[in-house]
Amino acid sequence: MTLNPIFESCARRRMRLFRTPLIIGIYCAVLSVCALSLLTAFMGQGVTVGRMRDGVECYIWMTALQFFLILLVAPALSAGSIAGERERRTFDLLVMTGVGARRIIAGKLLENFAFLVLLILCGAPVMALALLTGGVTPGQIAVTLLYLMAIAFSALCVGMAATVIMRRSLSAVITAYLAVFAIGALSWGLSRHGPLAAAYIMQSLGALAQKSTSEILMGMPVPIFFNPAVGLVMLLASQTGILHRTMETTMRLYHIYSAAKAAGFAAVSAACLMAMLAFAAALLALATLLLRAQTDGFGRKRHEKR
Amino acid sequence: MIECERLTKRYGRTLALDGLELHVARGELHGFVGPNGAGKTTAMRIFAALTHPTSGDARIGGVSVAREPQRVRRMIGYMPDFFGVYDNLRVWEYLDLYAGCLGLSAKERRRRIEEMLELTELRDRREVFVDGLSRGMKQRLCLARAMLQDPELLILDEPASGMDPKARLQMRRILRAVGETGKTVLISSHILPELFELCSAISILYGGRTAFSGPAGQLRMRMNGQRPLLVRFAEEPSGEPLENARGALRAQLKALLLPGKDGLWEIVPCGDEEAVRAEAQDEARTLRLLMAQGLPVCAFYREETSLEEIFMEVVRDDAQSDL
Repeated sequence: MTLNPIFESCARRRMRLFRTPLIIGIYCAVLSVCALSLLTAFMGQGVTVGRMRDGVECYIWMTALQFFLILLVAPALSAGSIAGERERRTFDLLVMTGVGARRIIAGKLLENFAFLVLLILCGAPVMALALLTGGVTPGQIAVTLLYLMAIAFSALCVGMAATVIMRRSLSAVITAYLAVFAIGALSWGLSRHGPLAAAYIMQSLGALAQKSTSEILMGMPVPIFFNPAVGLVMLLASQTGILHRTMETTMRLYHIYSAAKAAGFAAVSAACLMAMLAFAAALLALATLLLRAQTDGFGRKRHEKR
Repeated sequence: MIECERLTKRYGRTLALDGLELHVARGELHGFVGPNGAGKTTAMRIFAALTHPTSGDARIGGVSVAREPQRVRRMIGYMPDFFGVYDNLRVWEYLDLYAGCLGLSAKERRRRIEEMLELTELRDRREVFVDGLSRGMKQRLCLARAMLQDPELLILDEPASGMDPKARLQMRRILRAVGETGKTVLISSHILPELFELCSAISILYGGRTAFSGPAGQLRMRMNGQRPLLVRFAEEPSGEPLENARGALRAQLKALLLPGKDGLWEIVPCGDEEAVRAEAQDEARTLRLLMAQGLPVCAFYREETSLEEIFMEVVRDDAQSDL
């Protein structure tokens, strides 16, 4: 089996850039400084069994920080990939090899994903600080890291769609950030105020305890599953059990919380993961089709129209 | 190898190609000349299946660029006028990327890369980063990339632009070697003397149309025919031999023999007649005629039209025919 040549070349080029170790360094530094500050604040009076909760809270904050850092880095990373090739005037040279839209996108996406996986793994030791105080198992940390990787992959797919549509890197990056923001805001807003939410509120008046997990999940407003933050919060809630009060008070979405609690936070988190990956796959398919239309199919369609 | 008929390309209100007709024979080194904005790059991009024509079609080896762009691309090596390179790759890595994209096996990739580095005289730069190459070397690297797949047709858009004379000479040598392999090569350039020296056929584009297309020698002959034949005599001619020669020239070739500058005599057409054709047979006939009259001819030649003059002449003709 041969490696995708675009993946191989992009990875080689990235690791030779001066800014690559710089980004990794800044990422680790931000996480480390925040982790140390939190631990110092939480456990200023020394580590005790009673302080276990502080360690877990630190773990949750670190996960949240990684989540935001990923959302900050990922869209920009992939949004510059194909638009950047166009700007550098290397895209035509790739097209001339007949490499195909699918391989171009796969190569670019995998390379960006590999870099993000590297970043996330660099943050793993910081997350593992929670193991010092207890309250979180190594397995749970591994699951959270995998979940973060899935979020990174989805964010990269948004950027990939933007880079195919827009011709300039800057416009692609802006589009990708706007799209990520729109996905978060719309999925949340529609779940709170949309007709589905209203319907669910009516339903939720019924006895949740008598319904099965799948029935509860199917009754929940669909857009909520497309919000990666919701999925991550549910995952952390299922792992730590200390986010319930926060969710009740800050989410102001009591019916969702009740339903999630009844269905199981892990189940809601898994549903969010699936919805997110399905959305990412749809975006990838769209990006591939668009790129194919831009490179391979342009002539045939126009010609046949004439 | 390339056939295109009534090829038109419009960018908004701008008409880049206006019914372009072009025929390039297999194995030919074909020069593509034209002023800026004549449509050379647009035509080349259409031949490379990178831009679709607004109307008309082009066929590469009988395959339509509009219907089967992927098949066309497999037959073509394309070197654009402006191209980017990945600066932080080594020379062999750069070629390896494209060889991989072409789907060559690892063994085949290594073999082709070595061959192309040899051909483009870059073997000693194999491990150098692309960033460290001169412009001429980057051009040669791009040529090597275009030839990786061993294409039937090479389309080179201004391959020598921005090069110093030494690098141009090197590029010309490489292109001649490429031409000797029997490949069809379409080269655009602004450096006319180089194209005439290198190419067996020339097409001149003007305003998105073909102003001239044919063998390079034919173009030169056509233009040279408008120049007078110059004759130098060992002794200044006079009397009966001169009159006889003038009479014969007028009667047989409809030409006049007139004294010119610096002791030279000119053979020019009578009135509205065309000049003595710039073909070897006609010129030999004229010389025989002068010798037959006993004139002591010591030099007999036609002043050559410079290539820039040829180019400007063809372009002017085409512009006037539009009016």
